[in-house]
Amino acid sequence: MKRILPIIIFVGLFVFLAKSLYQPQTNIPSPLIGKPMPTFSLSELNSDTSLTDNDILGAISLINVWATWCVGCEQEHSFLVELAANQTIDIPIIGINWKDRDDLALRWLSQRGDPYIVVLSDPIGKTAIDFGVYGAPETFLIDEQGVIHYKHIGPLDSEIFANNIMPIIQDLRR
Amino acid sequence: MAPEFGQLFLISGLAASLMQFLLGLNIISLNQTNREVLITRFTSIHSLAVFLAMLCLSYSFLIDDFSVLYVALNSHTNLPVLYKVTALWGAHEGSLLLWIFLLSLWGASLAYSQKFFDQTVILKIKSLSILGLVSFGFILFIIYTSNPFERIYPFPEQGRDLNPLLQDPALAIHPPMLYAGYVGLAVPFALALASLMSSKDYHWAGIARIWAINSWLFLTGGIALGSWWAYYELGWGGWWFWDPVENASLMPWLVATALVHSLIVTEKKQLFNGFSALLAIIAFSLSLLGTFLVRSGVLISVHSFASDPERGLFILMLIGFFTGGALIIYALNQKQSKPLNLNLFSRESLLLLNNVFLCSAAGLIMIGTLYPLVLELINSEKISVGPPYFNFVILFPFIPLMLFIGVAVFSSWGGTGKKLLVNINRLALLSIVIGLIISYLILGYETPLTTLGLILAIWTIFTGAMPVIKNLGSQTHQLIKNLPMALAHIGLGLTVLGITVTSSYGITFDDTLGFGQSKQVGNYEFKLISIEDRAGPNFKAKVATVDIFSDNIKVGSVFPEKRIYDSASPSMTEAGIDSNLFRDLFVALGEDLGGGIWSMHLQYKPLLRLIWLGPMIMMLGALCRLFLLKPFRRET
Amino acid sequence: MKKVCLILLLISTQVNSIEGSEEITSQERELYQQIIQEVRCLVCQNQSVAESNADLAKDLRTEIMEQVKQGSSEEDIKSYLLLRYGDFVLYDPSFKKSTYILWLSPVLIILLILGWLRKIGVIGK
Repeated sequence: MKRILPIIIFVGLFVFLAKSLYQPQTNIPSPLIGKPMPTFSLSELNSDTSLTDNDILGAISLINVWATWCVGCEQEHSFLVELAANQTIDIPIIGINWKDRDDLALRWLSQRGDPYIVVLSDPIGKTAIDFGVYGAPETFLIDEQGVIHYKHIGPLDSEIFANNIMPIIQDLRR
Repeated sequence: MAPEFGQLFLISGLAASLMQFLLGLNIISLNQTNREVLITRFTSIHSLAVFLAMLCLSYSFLIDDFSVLYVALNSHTNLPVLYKVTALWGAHEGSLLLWIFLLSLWGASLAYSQKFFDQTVILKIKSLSILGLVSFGFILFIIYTSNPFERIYPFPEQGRDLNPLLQDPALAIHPPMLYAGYVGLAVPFALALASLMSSKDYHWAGIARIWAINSWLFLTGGIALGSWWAYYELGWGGWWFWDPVENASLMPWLVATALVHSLIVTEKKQLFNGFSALLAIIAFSLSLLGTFLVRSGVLISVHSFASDPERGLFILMLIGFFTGGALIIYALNQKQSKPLNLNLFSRESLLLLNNVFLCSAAGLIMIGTLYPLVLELINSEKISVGPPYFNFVILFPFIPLMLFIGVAVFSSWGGTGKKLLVNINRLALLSIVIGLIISYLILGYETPLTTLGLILAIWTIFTGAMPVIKNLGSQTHQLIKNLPMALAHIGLGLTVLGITVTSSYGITFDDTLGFGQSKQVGNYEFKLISIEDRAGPNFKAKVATVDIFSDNIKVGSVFPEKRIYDSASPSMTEAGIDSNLFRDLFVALGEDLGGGIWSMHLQYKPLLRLIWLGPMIMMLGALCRLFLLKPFRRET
Repeated sequence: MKKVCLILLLISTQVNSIEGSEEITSQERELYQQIIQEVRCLVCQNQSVAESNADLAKDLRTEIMEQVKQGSSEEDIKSYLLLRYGDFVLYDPSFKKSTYILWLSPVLIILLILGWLRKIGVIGK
């Protein structure tokens, strides 16, 4: 027994390491799934009016955290614009402009199109922390009561949306 | 042409190492003397070939040949010459070349060693053969997946520059030293297997011990250097983070320490042969595992090289082959050992006990390092296991270890507890009293753990020094015999002392300072005098002048910098450090907040230097053992 | 002259209180230092927020400092972060079902060792 114990341990270790080699690096799972979105009070882009989390309840929507300095946001933007215009899917997108400047954000949107029904400014980043954001872009799916059902980290595209988000939306709409 | 010659030399090395391996098998019939001569020759050819390959790569660096992809990725025309040389091991492919070069050197050292004769020549042949196979595997790995001589076309005008973090004199020494330690463990590995396969029990132990100590010497130095470098380079004042790559170097060190001690018993008392062989196998396997962890990308680390599952797989196959093969040979050739009838307080038993603590420490580190990976695989759960965990669990084996190290020093072969306890009683009492005095009266009480750490450190130092002190002025031979152990143990005690004091009594301030303002950190006042611009060979910097006062007397000035390198990497901090043996005063620049105000990181770290002085003394002990004692005696 | 002095005085106090981390006690300072070393920088390659220069790290350090000043305990701050980022953000793994083995391993190993030593006849005679 003493002789083969090292081998047994080694084989176990070996198999485990081999499997982890091909394990894709997963993103950090969000502990907020299934919980109501965090409360916040942020001012609208380039205005004095502020909105709270209560103000955006009432419909299944996407909350998209973005910034003008973020490369991934640039990549996903055209998809978001398309999605916003899509009457069949009909899902409003709320933007949270993260650690950015209002004037830069406005210019960025005017150059690339504005898919958002409203953009909220989070220049300090405290609300983003409440959402567990660690790298833009991040997109959250919330239901009518404001419960978070899905979080996607990284640029959104039609494939990810169709495979991961749409099914949840369809479930919620039943 | 140099890169192409480099490739040719690599392939020659491949062939030579293959011959080195084949000569150990009984394929070609030769008498033993001829076999020995031939295998030695091929070991030399193999070493020379790899050395020349390294020279070719160095040449490409020195002439800024950016048509070589590796040079283009890791160099820059403005890179100082020293770093053009050391950049060779700055990334994956080149560092592997360094690895196989050092491996070949160790093989050569074994081949030309004077310690083999008559009965043990067969061990030399077989172990050189195994080393040849190991080299063969790694050279194959380089040629197939990580060729540093690959060309790039069209080639860029300018290189991407060496990572600024690596542009440092310590980089010149840290990887070669560390790698020398890692690959050095291949020699005891090979000797253990050679012994198992040729049933020449025990003879291998004395020889293997020398190479084990050699590797241990370099590993100790490499790890200490890495810690010291991280301290002054990373701009935050930390010196150990339990990062997976750091752990990957500590685990073989712990097992190598156990190996050295186990081999003492095997050599002197012909006991624990199987255990020593197993330790030799595990030590080298941990080196291989370390290589795997750093280069495969399975773990996230600041140290990891660019990851690639294909490379990871190749290394894993090498590990599977060598470790798996070795463990099979071990299982097949292990003789049924007689039941031990050892008194718990005999030297044999205490050495075994301490080895078990050392191996447990290595095991716990392994579990902590790999656990997040396991959990992710099984549960899709992501957790982090870091310093809070490791700092806690490492105490479990280390506290008893520190205690029993002192006890073991006074033990005798086959001895019992009675005489032993009598001898150590007074020392134990002395250590406790001094520890308590320092803790309560001198430094100020912190936590029970601090006091315990102080007591154990002092205990280790005293017990280590005692055998030498006892023999001062009388029996020089006995003194010299005990000197290596004394130095090694004292070194360990100093390290633990440094760690305990600096962790418990150090003070850190993260604050803002404007020109002319000062902050009080413990007994010291840090005052920001000015910030100036400075240009270096390949960077621009903002340099601060910070004066440090103690009781209103100026103690020193430090000049922390924030650098931006030409190659547009993110900014780097160079810490300003005022140090002596008793304390370090550490200042790092944070952000420019405007209006002449900067955020700064200020630290007072008492006895920090002991953490690196300790390993230096440990290394001195190893050197004493290697050079001061009589050369290995010819067996009669 | 008095007006100029007054204005300069106002400016200098403004400049001092931009970061305003002056008014914390040494316990609060220690708590802050301890916590920031245990919080992981999520956008880095294995660094704590204490070490890292990343924006997110700076934001988290600011947030932690604010909470320390408000009197939050270590528990409070850690659960604040756990609720938002999950277990990955703390370097001290929580003690739960999936980490039992991790936390109990030192004890397990000691027991195994003692059992083995007993078996080979080194102890328990």
